[in-house]
Formats: sequence, structure tokens, C-alpha cells
Amino acid sequence: MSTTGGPPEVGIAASELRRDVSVWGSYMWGYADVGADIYVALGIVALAALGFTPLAFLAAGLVYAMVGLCYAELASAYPVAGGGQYFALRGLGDIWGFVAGAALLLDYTIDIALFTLISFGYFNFFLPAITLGRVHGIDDFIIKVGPSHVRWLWLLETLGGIGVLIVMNVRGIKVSSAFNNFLGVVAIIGQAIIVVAGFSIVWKPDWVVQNFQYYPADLGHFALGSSLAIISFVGLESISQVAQETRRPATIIPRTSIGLILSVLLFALSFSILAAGMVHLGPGPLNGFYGNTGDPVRLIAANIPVIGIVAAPMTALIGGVIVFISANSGVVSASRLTYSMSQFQLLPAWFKRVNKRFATPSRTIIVFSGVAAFQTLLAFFAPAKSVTDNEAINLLTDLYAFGATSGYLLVFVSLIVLRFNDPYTPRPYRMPLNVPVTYRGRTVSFPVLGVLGFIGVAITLSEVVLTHPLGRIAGPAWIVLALIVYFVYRRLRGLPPLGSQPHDWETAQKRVLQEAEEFESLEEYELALAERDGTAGRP
Amino acid sequence: MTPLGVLIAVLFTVGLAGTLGWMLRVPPPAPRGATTAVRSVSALRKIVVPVIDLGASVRAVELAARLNEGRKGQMLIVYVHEIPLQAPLVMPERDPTIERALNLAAFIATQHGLIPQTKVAVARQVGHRIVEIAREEAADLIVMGVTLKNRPNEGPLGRTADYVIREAPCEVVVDRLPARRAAPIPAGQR
Repeated sequence: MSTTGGPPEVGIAASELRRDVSVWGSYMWGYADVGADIYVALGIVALAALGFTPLAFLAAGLVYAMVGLCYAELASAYPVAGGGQYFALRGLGDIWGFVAGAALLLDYTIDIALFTLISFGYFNFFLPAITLGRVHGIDDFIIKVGPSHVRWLWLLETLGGIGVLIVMNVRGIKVSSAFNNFLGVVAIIGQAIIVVAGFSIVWKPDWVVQNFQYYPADLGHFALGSSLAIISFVGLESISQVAQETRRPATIIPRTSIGLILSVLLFALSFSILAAGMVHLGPGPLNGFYGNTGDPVRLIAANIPVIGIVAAPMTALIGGVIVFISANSGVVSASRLTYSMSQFQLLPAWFKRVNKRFATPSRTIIVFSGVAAFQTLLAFFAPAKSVTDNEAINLLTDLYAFGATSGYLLVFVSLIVLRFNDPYTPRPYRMPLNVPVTYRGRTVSFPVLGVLGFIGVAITLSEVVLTHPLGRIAGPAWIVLALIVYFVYRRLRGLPPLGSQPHDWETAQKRVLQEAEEFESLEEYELALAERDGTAGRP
Repeated sequence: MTPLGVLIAVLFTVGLAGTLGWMLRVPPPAPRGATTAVRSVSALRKIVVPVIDLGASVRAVELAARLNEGRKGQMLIVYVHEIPLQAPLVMPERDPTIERALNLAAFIATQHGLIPQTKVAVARQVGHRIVEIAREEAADLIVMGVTLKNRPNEGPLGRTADYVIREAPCEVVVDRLPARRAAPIPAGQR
């Protein structure tokens, strides 16, 4: 893949992003994104997978674990902004790098819209208290516009929340990091208290068995549930998006990725098993989450005796905050991703400019948060079958699942291809289960788990396409629209629309490792290149 | 409250605390100089061990084998006959003392899981030939064992070691044994 002597401007420029994200900060970027997903997914998964809800989370969790390990390998080997888009670019070329970037960009903009929306779903728990009982809930503020039932106050809250995120992120990552770290700790402690108190005080194992026996999901519903459950694990790539700002990325990223995989799996499985032991998981109105998809974890907390009176508002507050942090990490990831894409001339260089005052990519923050605001408007005006249906959440979750699985699919392909095409880059962490194969006279570790992960994500993507009526239309439409923009831009710049530009990956990789102070990886890389060129050991 | 619920709560707490605790224990960073040293040692592929001083050289084989542990690198044990200028440069007849020394050195290497090569060569200057062999074999390291001897017109390590240190194309480790420890070969094997 390496082409030496290519124009330096299409390599990786010296980083303008500061390396000030620590191990806890790196974990928190991931947790802020993934940790909040359970607050969003629990209700809608329970309504789809019924008594099999814990199994749906387990199935999605297995796929997520493989995705996480894949990202841990690639992000520690290539610690630059861009994440999945960069891996696809290196492994598969410019156009696939763009497609992966477009899919992930869809995910991040939806992340901003969906999670801001859900965070106010939690905050709206306090509406009756704030209005001294004059208002029963957010559904008091609905107007009918054509076939749509628009929750106008919720819409305004969401747009206002996106505005706050824009201001906060334009001001700089340091402010955002401190914000993430503090609130992340509060959220973890709050979630852990609910899980421990729920299992210790109120959880009934016989309810789990009853839900399983009396409300089993058929194959279609289980496929829908598990494809929705994947959204409770989306966002781990946030760690790789801030890789270029992470100190000692080759050391820290594998640790934070594995730490995040395990802790999020613990929370997701615990909450789903807890729900199955506390709430009826039947179809429609027989399901405890019916009408509560906006704040499902608050419902769990409210059912815990003794602490329930305090836990419900506490959970609504923590849920609102953590989900809002997740929306914040969507802004960060979208801005890093577009920064990377413009660096490689997949998007106009206009996006790459860093704000002189705050040293942040302010243009990308404003533009793609604006896209999220537009998506929010579309979602709120989506036609619904009845007034109780929350079509805004349904549309955004469909698109979220589509974007994530499409991007992950390309990342797995990139992992496999890069094992063959770039065996020289040191991998401080490798996905387990490798088989040595000989390729062009060199032994290459073939990633068996990478293939299994690819199959797992492909199955999930097909579930998304088959079971999500909105996702299968709007998702591909986004990619097609993005490709049109890409082709026009490449044509205007005189760049090959389908081919790839020459990239000096080797110089770029050395510079990245040098800047990251990953000297061990740098020397290993230089030695591997010298061996390849037959210059190893020469004085 | 059920025992199973309490057990799950405990397992959850231990699992979460253990995961975060492990994650936060990041090993300290290695400075550039340190990683160079680590890398150069771990990159060793071929080590040449010249048998110069029999007792000290056996110890050098042991050191070289330990440096090579866990890496499946190659080891070449070399004995060089020094032929005076007045004599023709031909291989002398078999010397059982040299053979025993080479076999003993090879045995030590095999104890560490290595399959060493042995080589006997002739030269006018031992040091010159060792350097040539290191260059021919693209060796990464020469490990030499010497004893301290007072010879006229020579440095404390002897002229062979002096020359190899100055001219070798790769790293050189010289292990100088004190005089009283310089006879590890049992008398019966000499």
C-alpha cells in the first residue's frame, strides 16, 4: 500500500490537535458515547425482543466485543484522527475511506440529534414538578401538522441542546474533556447504584423465567430487537477519533478499549437482566416500557423500593446528563472525522482549518451539528401512525443502526486487508485468534476473529435493512448523496473520483509515532521497513 | 431480596471495579534511549561467539544463549587457528582440546534450546578473521569471553579482543573474567 515519494500534502500533516487526553479521558470519550446507549436502547429493545431482551443484548454484545477488539488493534496501530474512515482509507483506498467516513458521519450526526432528544426525554421527567403540577408531561405539548404529531416543546429543547453543544465544543476540547470526565464519573456511580440496589432489593429471578416462557420473541422480533440492541454499543470508535489527541496512544488505547468493552457489556447485560426481573416484557401495553421509550432506565429506578423515590429523579437527572454527554461526543467525533477526511482530500480543505483562538476545528463542529439539527427537524415531522408513537425516536434509531453497522463492516474488511498489505506497522495489540499464513514470502497473521466479526456485523446490517423500514431507505440515501458530493468535489479538484491519490504512508506513520512518543513502536516500524528493504543490520 | 440477586450485585461490583482498576494501571513510558536498548537486544538474530580463551569462552556461550532466550536466534561458535607468518595458511590437524571445547560450548547452547553452528577457521590474525566472519554472517552481536592477562605490548583485554572491539560491524560484548574464575572446564576434559 505504501507509495513513497507521494505529495506530502496528502500524507498526514503535523498534528494541530493537542495530545492532552489521558487514560481516563480516553475511556471517558468512549464511555460518554457508549455508556449512554443503554439509556436510549433499553425501552425500544424490550418492546421488540420482549422476553428475549437479555438474549438480544447478549447477541449484540458479542458483535460489539469483536468490533471493539478490532478498533483496539487499528486505533493503537494508527493513532490518528479519523477512526474507521482512516482505516478504510489505508486498507481499501480513497473511495472506500470516504464511504466509511460518510457512514460514520451519519452515525455521529444522528448521535447528536438522537441523544440530545433522549436527554431531554429524561429531563422532561421534571416538567410536572417545575410547572407545579399544571403540566402532566411532554405529551401535553403536541400539535398536529398534516400526518405528523409534532412534540414542539421537545423539538425546541433538542434544538437548544444542540446549540449548547456547538458553543461548548467550539470553545475547546479541554473544556469538553473536563465536562466529560466529571459527569462520566457521576454517571458510572449512579448507574452502578441502580444495578446493585435493583439486584439486591427487588430483582426476582422467577420473573426472568416467566418473561422468557410467556413472552418469547419470534425470529423477526428477535432480529429487530438484536439489531436495535446494537445501538446500545455504538460509539466505541470515539476512542479512536480522539487517538490523535491521546497521550501514548499505542499503550493507552488498547487498555481503554478493552476496559470500555467489558464495562459497557457489564452495564448492558445487567440492565437487561434487571429489567427482565422487574418489569413485564409482553407485547404492546403488556410491556412495562410501553409509552416509556424516552426514559427507560428511570422506569427501572422508580420500581426499586426504598430508594425508588430518590432513585427515579436521580436517574432522570443522571440519564439526561450522560445522554447529553454522549451527544457531545458525537460532536467531537464528527469534527475529528471531517478534519481527517479533509486532510486526505475526501472533503474540501475548508473543513480542516483549525480555529486560531480556540485551536478547535470550529467549522466542522458548526456545519455537522447544523446537519444534526436538520435531522432533528425531519425526525420530529415524520408521520406517525398514532399520537402515542414516537416516530422521531424510531427514525433516528433506524439511521443510527444503519450508519454504525455499515461503517463497522468496512472497518473489519480494512483490518483483514491491512494485515496483508501493511504487516510492517507495529500492532501493540492484536485481535486474538490468528492463523499464520504465508503471503508473498512473508508470514502474516490472518485474523479469524476479524472474519467472525465481519460475519456478525453483516448479519446485523442485514437485520437492520430487513426490519427497519425507514433505515433501509434513508441510510443508503445518505451514502448516495454523500458520494455525489464526493464525486463533484474530486472532479472540481482534478482528483481521481474512483481511484486513490498517492499517499506517503510510511513517512506519515513515522511522524505520528514520533509525535505520540511511541518510540518502541517507531523503532519496531523502522526495523521492519529496513528488513523489507534489505538494509537491516548494515552499518 | 434473593441470594441470586445479591450474588449478581456482588459479581457486578467486583467485575466493574476490577476492569477499571486494571485499565488505570498503565505501565510507565519508556524514554527513547531505553527503547533503543530494548529494541537492539530483542532484534538479535545471529550471535557469533569466538572461542578465544577456553574457560572464558564457555561462559560467553552461556551469556550469549541467555541473551538469545525466547527468540530462536542463531548462534555461531567459532574457533580460529592463528597461523604464524612463517607457516603455510592451512588447516592444522584435528586438535581434541579444541573439539572438546567446541562440543562443550555447543552443549551449553543446546541446553537453552538453541541449535548452534560451529566453525573452525584459520587466519594470520584471529581478530581479523572474527570480524570477517561477523561481516560474512551478518551477525548482530559478538560475545567474547577473555581473562585478564599481562602481555607485553598489548592492552589488558588482549590484541584479539581489542581489534574486534574496534573493527566489528556489529555490537560486541566482552566478558572479562577474574583470573581465579577462569577455569570452569573440569580438568579431565582439557
